[in-house]
Amino acid sequence: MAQDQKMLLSVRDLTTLFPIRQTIFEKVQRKPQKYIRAVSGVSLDIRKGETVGLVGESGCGKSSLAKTLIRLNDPTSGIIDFAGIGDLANAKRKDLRKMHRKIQMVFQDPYSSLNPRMTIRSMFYEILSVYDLCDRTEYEQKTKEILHMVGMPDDILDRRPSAFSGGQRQRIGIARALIMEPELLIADEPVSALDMSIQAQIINLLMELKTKMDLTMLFISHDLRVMRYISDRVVVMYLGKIMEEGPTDEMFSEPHHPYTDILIHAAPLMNPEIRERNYTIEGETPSPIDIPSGCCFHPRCPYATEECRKKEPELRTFKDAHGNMRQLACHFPLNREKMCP
Amino acid sequence: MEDILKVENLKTDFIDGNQIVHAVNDVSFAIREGETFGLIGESGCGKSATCRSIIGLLKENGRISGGKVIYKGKDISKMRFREMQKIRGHEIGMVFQEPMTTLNPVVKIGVQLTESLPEKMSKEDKRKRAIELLKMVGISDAQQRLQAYPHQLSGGMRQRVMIAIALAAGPKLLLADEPTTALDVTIQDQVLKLLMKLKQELGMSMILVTHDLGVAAQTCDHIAVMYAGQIVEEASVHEIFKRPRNPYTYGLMCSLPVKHRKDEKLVPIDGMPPNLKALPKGCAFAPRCRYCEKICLETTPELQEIGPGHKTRCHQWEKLKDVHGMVEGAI
Repeated sequence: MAQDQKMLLSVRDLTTLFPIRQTIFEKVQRKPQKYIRAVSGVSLDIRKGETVGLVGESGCGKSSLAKTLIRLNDPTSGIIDFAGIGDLANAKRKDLRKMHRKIQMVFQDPYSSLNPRMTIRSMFYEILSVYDLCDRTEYEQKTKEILHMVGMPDDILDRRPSAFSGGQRQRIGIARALIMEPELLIADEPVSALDMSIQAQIINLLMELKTKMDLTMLFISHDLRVMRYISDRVVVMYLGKIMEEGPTDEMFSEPHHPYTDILIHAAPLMNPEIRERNYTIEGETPSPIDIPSGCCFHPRCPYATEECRKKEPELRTFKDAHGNMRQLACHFPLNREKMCP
Repeated sequence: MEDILKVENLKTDFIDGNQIVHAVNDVSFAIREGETFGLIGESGCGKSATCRSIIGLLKENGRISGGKVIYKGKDISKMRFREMQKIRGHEIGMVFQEPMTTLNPVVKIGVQLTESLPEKMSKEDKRKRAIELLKMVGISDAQQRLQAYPHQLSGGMRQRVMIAIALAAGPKLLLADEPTTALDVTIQDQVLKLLMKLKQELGMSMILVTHDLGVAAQTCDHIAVMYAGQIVEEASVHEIFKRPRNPYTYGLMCSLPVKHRKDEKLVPIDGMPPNLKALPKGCAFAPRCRYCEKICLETTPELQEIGPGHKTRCHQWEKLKDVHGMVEGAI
């Protein structure tokens, strides 16, 4: 994707902490308040028209980041600058409605993200009236149009979500997000709850709608195969921090962060002929309450040294051998010869 | 090598309200000693029901309505509860998908581990065996972990404990029902490696139920693909990933993005899985199949042998081409 495209969303030093509730005893003892570090100092730019992929294991803060961007969670500090609206991080509740017209989200679980008691008609009419998107007489027309776009028949208006399968519900969820004609669509694991034969249908639909409606997309997934296919740029997160960021192809062919490398290799290959893979990863993701010292990945990193245990690597921007701007937080990057200072 | 388990024309029904759902419909396969047999399919295709029928752990509304499950020459599908208890856990172990719901949340790990050990074993021996088991599945400081409750362990740990419990009595056959589906990729890889290592060391055979083609490709020797309660294709892992001869298997493989360019569209399988209560006439996959002809809508295809060890349930299998390029290399 062209680097000179207009910036749509620019996030600086975004941090979201969730305080852990203390018991009365802990309060009396004046124990220090502990926090879950969900998102920590994330800086990220999304240009108009591109698809940015956010990848990481469960608990790495990718969903928390998405929810902070649309203010379902409130950030602790940082700036979220959205083109044409301004800073969302410090926007007042009542100003958020303006933002919701521009940023919409598709959720992971199509079973819990649609209200089971509402008919499809009332679901869409509610949005249209709350945001005053069009005249009352056009409601039906508009709803049918958007349902048609996501490949649903238009005689379903008076049914409820329970009448539909997972894939169909996800289509309705996508229609619900797109009826606002947003500029940025955040898709949080939109296919991982679906059967494998349905996943490709939804991915194709998202790609198709992206072109048709001129969308910018933040695509969250733990599936690197899907990620590689759908996104222009990939951001790898671990324990609330960005570890590495760069254009998709280069990230996959020349990862610089050991964690990116491990993620790429951990996914089981679809080829029974290649079973020997030369890598290991020990241990599990630590708890986001007690973050390891230094680089938070060091307990699992095969290349960790004393320096990694003590000093936290900064997220630096650099140019790779192909002239792409990338970001990396590691003291001892892999494929170092491919990096320009 | 000999067959350790043979399933013959297995039929399992579930009663849902006043309707009967044929979850497993005439399934036959055999597992040779030391082999890993993969059952692949989407949710509701009957792969878990097959597993549960084998070990006799169907839910209350389910029953085996026909066929045989022959373990070491004996039909275990009609065994009495008492007799079955001797086989379940001791001869055939099982690992379930959700470690949080299958472990008892109010019982310590140590107690759950020793439950399936012989009663005549002394308390101290049981404890030693439990520590040994935890070490075997790669859990450090095993001694302390015996006192832990399931909620104090991470997802990967819990699955390791589940595996340890399944192996406690030294089963000859392990049924693993989506053992890694709830886990992250790095943890999935660790657990799969562990399962394969233990299988080798303990000389077990294994049935691995999964919906992930990658997991199947990496671990199984033999694969059966299920759709709507039936096996639609069966072959060795190398054969099936090179020459799938059923449009469903083929469709699944092609619908995954593997080194696709951005401008190449994915080729999904149209439509959605059928309702088991109202199966279409003819081939169950026909409404979604791009090779569908008139005959497919009228007569149900039989599972036929089309090559050495390769069976498919399709009228149009000759139309399918080999899969080229898509399975090679990294993701």
